[in-house]
Amino acid sequence: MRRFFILTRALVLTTLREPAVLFWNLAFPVLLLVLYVLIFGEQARAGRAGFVQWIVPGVVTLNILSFGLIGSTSLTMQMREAGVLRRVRATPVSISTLFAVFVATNVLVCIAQTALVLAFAALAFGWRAELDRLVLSLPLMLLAITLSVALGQLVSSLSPRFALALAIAQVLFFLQLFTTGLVMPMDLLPAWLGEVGRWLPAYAIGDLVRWPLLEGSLGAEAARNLGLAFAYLLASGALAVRFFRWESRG
Amino acid sequence: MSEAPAAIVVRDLWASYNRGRIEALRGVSLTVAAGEIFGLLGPNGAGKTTLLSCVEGLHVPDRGEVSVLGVDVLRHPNAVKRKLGAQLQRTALISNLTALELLEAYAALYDCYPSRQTLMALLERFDLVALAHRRAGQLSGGQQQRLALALALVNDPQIVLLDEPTASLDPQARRAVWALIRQLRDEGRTVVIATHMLDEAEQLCQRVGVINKGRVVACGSPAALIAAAQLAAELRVAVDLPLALLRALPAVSSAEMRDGYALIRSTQPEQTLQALYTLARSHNASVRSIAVRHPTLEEAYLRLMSESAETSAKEA
Repeated sequence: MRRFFILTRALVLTTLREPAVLFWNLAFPVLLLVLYVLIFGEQARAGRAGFVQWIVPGVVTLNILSFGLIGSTSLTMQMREAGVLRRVRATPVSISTLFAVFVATNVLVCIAQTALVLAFAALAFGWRAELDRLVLSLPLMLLAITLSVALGQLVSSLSPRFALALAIAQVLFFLQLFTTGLVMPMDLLPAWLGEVGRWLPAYAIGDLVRWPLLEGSLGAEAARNLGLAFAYLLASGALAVRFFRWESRG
Repeated sequence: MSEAPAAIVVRDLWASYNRGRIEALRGVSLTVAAGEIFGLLGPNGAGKTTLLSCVEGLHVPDRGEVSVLGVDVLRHPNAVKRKLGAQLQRTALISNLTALELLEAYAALYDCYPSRQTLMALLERFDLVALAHRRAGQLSGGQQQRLALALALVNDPQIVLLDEPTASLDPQARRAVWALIRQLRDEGRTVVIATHMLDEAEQLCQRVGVINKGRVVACGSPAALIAAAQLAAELRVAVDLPLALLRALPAVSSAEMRDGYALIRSTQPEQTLQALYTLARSHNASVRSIAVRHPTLEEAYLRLMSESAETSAKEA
């Protein structure tokens, strides 16, 4: 465990010392929230306060998904492309330990990002969540973040190059954005596409994050979503470790 | 005198890239004795880095055997990695971490948790104490190279593998690294250096394995390799004797006048010199000055490379 903590601390430090990472992962989600509220807040039927209550869980969900799929691949891919992972391979550390360190680092950064968005929403726009809703949300948000990061690590493992990893991650992100009800109602989709969307990880992530914050409950499909989330988490984790790449190709 | 036990044994090692399309090693066999500085010498692309990668467990060979201190690398890679310290050809450091943080993290990769005092002592050894809290990305090329060497020692390894350890260093820094490498040997560690710098190999290594096109073309001490190449020493002599007489001296391959001196090439310089003094006395001539330049490892290496190219051409 000591090894795990030292390595995770080192990677968290290196992440937090990267200005681009700080901007995209900590400042940008807050800016996104500000833009949403300023542009759409006043026009909303529920008024600005109602809009804020409704939009904050959505922004958090989008951030979790985009950070996990796109943001979390950067650290692994950059270390691989710089040859750092090749050097690490000359040590006796196991792939599973390294994978756990990468996941833990990204989960911690994503937790910080989520906490920052929620704190900013509360302080700047008066977003409120009852304590029982927050308590219910926390473990589910943690599950959603871990799943999203594990998916990003799977993309890293399967991609021989950084550029390809980013392309794959973005395709997966936008594909799920429009097919799982995150940015447009699923009723507008063809029935078969809607059915496919319900089996994608982003559907489970969206429901697990939004329901507790919006409604204070797990939602009608809680068991199904939890099962889906755990299944995707285990599968993506196992595959990411199995196909882990120490070096870039080409 | 008993032979030193083997630190690394490589037997009939074949390795390739691109699913066998590029052959990097073709039946390499060699032994590195415990406690010696062994040099892998060869041109770029000869297979030096691939050979080190196979020993480090970074590249899986197609066939053959590699063992480190009696442990099979293919069967027990992690046990071997614990005994090795590695500095790869490309210095790849996490640029946002400080020198001290990097040492701590790399030690943890080996499941080692040295005290801060021990880590500072390691930095001290590489003249990096003043830079302990500076990020790796802010260090100069030479400082990064020294830090990479410090990282290779963080697990207190018995064997240290260094791939071009002085590349990109200025002459002063090179000599400082050489001194550190000698220190490692004096501490009883085995050091393997891959280099294409002949002076480095000649200055540092007890034995050298010359690799070309994936094959070991020669192996032995620098002196033995020079002797085996049967190269002539150059005697620069100020003496008033006709060239014909000088050419007739034993072991002389050629003699000519250059800048007022006789330039004599001899495969047995001591024998030639004795005969030269005798000849001068018998002709009442005096030998006013003598300078002997022995053949270098570089000349022996060039001879080996040209012989290796001829052999390859014949095989083709």
